[in-house]
Amino acid sequence: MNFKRQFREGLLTKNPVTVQLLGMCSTLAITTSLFNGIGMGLAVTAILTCSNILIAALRNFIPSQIRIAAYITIIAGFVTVVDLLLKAFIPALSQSLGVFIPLIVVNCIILGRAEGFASKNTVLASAVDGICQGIGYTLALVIMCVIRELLGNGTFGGGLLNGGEGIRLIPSQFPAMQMVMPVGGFLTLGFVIAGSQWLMKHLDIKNKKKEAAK
Amino acid sequence: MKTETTAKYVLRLALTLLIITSVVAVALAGVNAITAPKIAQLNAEKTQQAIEAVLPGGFDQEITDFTDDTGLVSKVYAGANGYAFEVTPSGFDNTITMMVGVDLEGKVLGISIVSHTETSGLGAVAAASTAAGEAFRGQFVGKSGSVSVTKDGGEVDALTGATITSRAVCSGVNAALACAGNLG
Amino acid sequence: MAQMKYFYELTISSSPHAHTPITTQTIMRDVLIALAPALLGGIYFFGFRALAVTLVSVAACVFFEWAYCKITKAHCKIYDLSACVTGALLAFVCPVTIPYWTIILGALFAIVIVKMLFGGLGKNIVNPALAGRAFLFSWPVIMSTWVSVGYENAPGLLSTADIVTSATPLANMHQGMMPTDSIMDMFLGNVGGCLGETSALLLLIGFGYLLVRKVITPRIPVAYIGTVAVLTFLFPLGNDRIAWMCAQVCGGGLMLGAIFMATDYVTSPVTKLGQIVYGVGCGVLTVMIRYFGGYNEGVSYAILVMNCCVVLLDRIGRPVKFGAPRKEAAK
Repeated sequence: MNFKRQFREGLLTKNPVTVQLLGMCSTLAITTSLFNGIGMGLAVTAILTCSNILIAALRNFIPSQIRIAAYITIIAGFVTVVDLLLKAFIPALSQSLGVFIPLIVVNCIILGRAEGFASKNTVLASAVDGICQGIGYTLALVIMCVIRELLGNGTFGGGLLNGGEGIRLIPSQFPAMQMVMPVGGFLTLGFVIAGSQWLMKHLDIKNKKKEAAK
Repeated sequence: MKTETTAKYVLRLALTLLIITSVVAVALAGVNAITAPKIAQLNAEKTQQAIEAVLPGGFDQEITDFTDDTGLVSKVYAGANGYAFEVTPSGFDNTITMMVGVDLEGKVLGISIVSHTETSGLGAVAAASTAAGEAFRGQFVGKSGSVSVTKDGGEVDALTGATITSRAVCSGVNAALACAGNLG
Repeated sequence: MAQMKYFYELTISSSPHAHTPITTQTIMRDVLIALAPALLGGIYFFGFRALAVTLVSVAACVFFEWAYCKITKAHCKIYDLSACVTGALLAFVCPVTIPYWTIILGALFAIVIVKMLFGGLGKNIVNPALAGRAFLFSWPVIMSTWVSVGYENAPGLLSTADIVTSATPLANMHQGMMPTDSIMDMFLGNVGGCLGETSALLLLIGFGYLLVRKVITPRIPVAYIGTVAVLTFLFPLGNDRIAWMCAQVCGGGLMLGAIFMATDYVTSPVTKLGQIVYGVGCGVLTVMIRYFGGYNEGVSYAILVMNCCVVLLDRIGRPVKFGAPRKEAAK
């Protein structure tokens, strides 16, 4: 397998959020502070990698008729483990993400990668896929978090820096509250997708020029 | 794949699922055994803190046989200086969980909001640790009998643009005061 | 060659070749003229800050449209005056005490995100001014500060520090009480509220002008206001049905919304039946939000929701093609 290509796909050309549009519910709901974005991203990356490894290892053992049930059971198991661990050791993150940690069970990224990748590839490739897709998801989330937190709350690094308050960049009477409300989620997602499309096109043109120069 | 419908194949499907679910169940039981005491301890600490915020000196015991006509009181804790009531009035969006401290003479010692889903910037101010939030919650200290917002003829100044949240907090405080009256 | 030269000077275009003097610009100019009485009313009731806010809003809208076209190298159409109408309407649905930076951000949202990103005039899905107002609820305290009417209470042009606030009739009605202001005051506009929405009388004058100039048909406004009137008459929250109905119809932004916003060509249906269903839908939603919603006013959200349904409403009431078999027409 080409790991470099997998990384590139996860980060940009097949990014789970901006290209595959998977896991929108949590993406739109929790991207209101940097802490949330990083926490959710790492939780999903961990679960995705674990479930990808296990499902790839069991891919010849699970009959295809019951594969979805088996995958969901495995995914739900990992999600519950992560949920319990967060509750016990990082209660602040668990409180902040609330119901969206248990909801990772139905996050399409995990099942999508299990069905689309891990069930057809080796354990190593699946592990790499889980990590790359997870990083792509985290990156998209963090970008959305930074934009929404800055415009909607006027801070950077909420829940993480400056004792959880975040560093205030815009005086508190100016930020547009709607940006941390659902409407801001949709708007920001639209702009992030547009930005990633622009970037891909830009890189494409650059590559073609390079080839032409050769 | 000829044998798909045979009994043996069906048995294989069932057994595979059974094995997967059992392994997952055992693993979860293990994790739960490790984390459960820690989670319980954290929850207890959180309750303790919420109670101490409204009831100086903390609580000695939880009272289970209280009379509550409003249906809003979920838990009652008794301490040397009075009672702490966990009440759950319904706010703008969902129920608000709040703690109300009441002294032995039936006066509010303080309120704190444990969890809520009010609109940020409006109703959420009620729970915020900002000056506006402190001022709003501070209004209830020392009140007895029943409270209501100025729009309804009471003494509590509602939060700007969040009359419903303010009313909900008032109804929570009233439920606690009524329950305290029943406790004597 | 000589013949070819003349040939190039001919303008060749596809049909229709007939011309009408009505352009977007003349329509928008008529709308602006129809809005003028309400603006004068706003200045009379709330002082010159009303004019200043409106001018800032209009200027911001025109500027953002021009800047967007410059940046994207698109054909600039600011002379069609549609940005001016958006700016004026946006100012009309904001409190007069709104800080200038807030209304400029509202104009930015209305023009760039709601209108231009969707492709400019004619392609926007929802009314830009109303979407701008919805976005301005990012600052809920600013958007729900109501100044008392009257010359002595008029807020300063630069400072709004020492204003006298008051409850609006809508706030009273939202609590199920008759407003403290008289129905006559509400009809004339001598009550608290948004900059250009308070006076039903002045808005109706504008309505009359638009009808005379045939800019709009009465279908949507009549269906809308009629629905609100019927529903509030049937389900009054007081003893006096008639008074309650009049207060609901004259109160808040109903007149402004029904006459100037629900009738926006781009965001309303084209078929007659569709327009009536659209108006009734707006009315039902407005009453529902006013009765059961969290906000006092439901007009803006009602129109925004119905804007989104226009694509469906355009399908009903389509005229049958001449000579088409009935069965096919039904399909």
